[in-house]
Amino acid sequence: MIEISRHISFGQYVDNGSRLTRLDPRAKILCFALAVAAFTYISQFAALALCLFFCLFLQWLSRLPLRYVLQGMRMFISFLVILYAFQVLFYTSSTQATSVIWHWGVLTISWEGLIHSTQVDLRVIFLYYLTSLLMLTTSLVDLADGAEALLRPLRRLGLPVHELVMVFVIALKFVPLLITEVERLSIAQATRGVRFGRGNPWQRIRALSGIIVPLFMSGLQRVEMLSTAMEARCYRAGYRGWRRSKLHALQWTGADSLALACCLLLCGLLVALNFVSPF
Amino acid sequence: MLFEVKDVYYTRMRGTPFAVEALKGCSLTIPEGKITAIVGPTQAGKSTLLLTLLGLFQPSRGSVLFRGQDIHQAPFDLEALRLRVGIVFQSPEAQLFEETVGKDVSFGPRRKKLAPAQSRHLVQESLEAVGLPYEEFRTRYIASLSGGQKRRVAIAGVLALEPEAILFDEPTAGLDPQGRQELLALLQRLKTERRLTIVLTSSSLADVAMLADQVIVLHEGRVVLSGSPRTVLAHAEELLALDITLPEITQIALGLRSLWPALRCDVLTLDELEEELVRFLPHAASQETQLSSP
Repeated sequence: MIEISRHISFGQYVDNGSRLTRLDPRAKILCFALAVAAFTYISQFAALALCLFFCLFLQWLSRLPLRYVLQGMRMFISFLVILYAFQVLFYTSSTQATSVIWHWGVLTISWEGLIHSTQVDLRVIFLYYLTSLLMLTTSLVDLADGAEALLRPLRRLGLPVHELVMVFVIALKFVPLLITEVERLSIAQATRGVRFGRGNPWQRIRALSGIIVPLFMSGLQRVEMLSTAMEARCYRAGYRGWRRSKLHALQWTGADSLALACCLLLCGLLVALNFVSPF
Repeated sequence: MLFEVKDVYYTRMRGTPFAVEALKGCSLTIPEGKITAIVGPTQAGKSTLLLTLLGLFQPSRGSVLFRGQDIHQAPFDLEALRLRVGIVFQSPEAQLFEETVGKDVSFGPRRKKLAPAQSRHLVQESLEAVGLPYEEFRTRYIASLSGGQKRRVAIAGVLALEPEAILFDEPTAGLDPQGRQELLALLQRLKTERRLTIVLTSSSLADVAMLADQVIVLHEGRVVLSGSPRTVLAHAEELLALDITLPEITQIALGLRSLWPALRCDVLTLDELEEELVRFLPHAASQETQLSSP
């Protein structure tokens, strides 16, 4: 309970100088979007197997300890397992007949339900992996810059791109901050006799509820501090005639083109495999 | 001995790319009813050590004993230990989580399920011990307090648990000189009036030299020096190399050593320095004439 940040890696950035961290954020975001689209589209196990290989390849490129990344997914996966049970038990299909294995009241377990839910959950796990890898290998500033550069055309439509990206990135990066905060609060309460992770589920929830309110309070205080800090440094987003300059201008290199090409190839392969594969 | 730390190793964020070895074979003892100061530069592992004493961090190697019992062995009740040994964190905001002063200070007694009257009495006594009038502060919002007041509320919250020992993490950091004096006086009072064992950390010997009965110097997760303030101050030059602030008097004595290399630098008060200087005075006179003549 005390060292939660050890177990949650979502939203952290690890600057280990790997090939993935060095890629242009625009390339990374484009590849990410492509991969997400392809991963969402596929519905065959053969294609999912290819996804797994792709993820393993990315993992190798990222040079992050596998254990660390998996540890970060542990909580998410336990949540997914509960979801999986519901999916299977309440699976109904309007188009195909289902071969029922077990049946009780409204609850049914069928082969189709099992297969369908497994596919959906595997996809969700891969998508979660991609998202956390993007954040593990891209810093806050890079992520914002890349997203803004890619969405710039939308400004023509009157969309406040810069502001939207900023809000989104700040929200993402608040995750590790809030986790540290939970850690701090649980230490403070543990030193005054609160028992975490003990007793029946009800007692556990009661112990956690004491953290939620102060967590919100400190979160709001942090937001206020952040906005004051931005104000103090004359941060201005959509100001007419105001052009922000950058310390690190984005640079597209050969490696980025290669990454994008590989990603396109993968997407093509996935879609093709999805058509051809019998299962 | 209240605490015994035996060859403890601890790595923060173990198993992640952010892993830091905070304690590397740390061994020390903390006697009962005394003030022990743990002194060291930043990143020496002081805060980690305090949290390890309370069993909030489990050492990867080595053991922590409380009154001779290993705190991570089965029959030992860690929650009971945390109610008997309080901790005051470095930044007071880190510790206060209720809305009002009264609610926060009474958190411990309420957890212990004490009767309301008894709990109220404890809160009143604790707040008054740290110099905050009960009636005035009971209903105040934590957010409306100053930094120094928050720190006192944090201490009161710990006192309300009626602990046998309190660990203070950098209690004087960020306080003005007067606030620092008041706080150190409070620590002294807690020791003499309530017979509490006190452990405090600091990056400066200036604050703790007069106060502590025992000083432990920590560097990179290991104990490098320990003993009475005087024994430790005798190694003034080593301490300076570790970036530890020395008491003013010691600094003066150290400066004077360029004139008289044999001068003792383990002096704590102005009177002691004077006595020490008098020993050298006949030489001083001759040196002075030497210095003033071109």
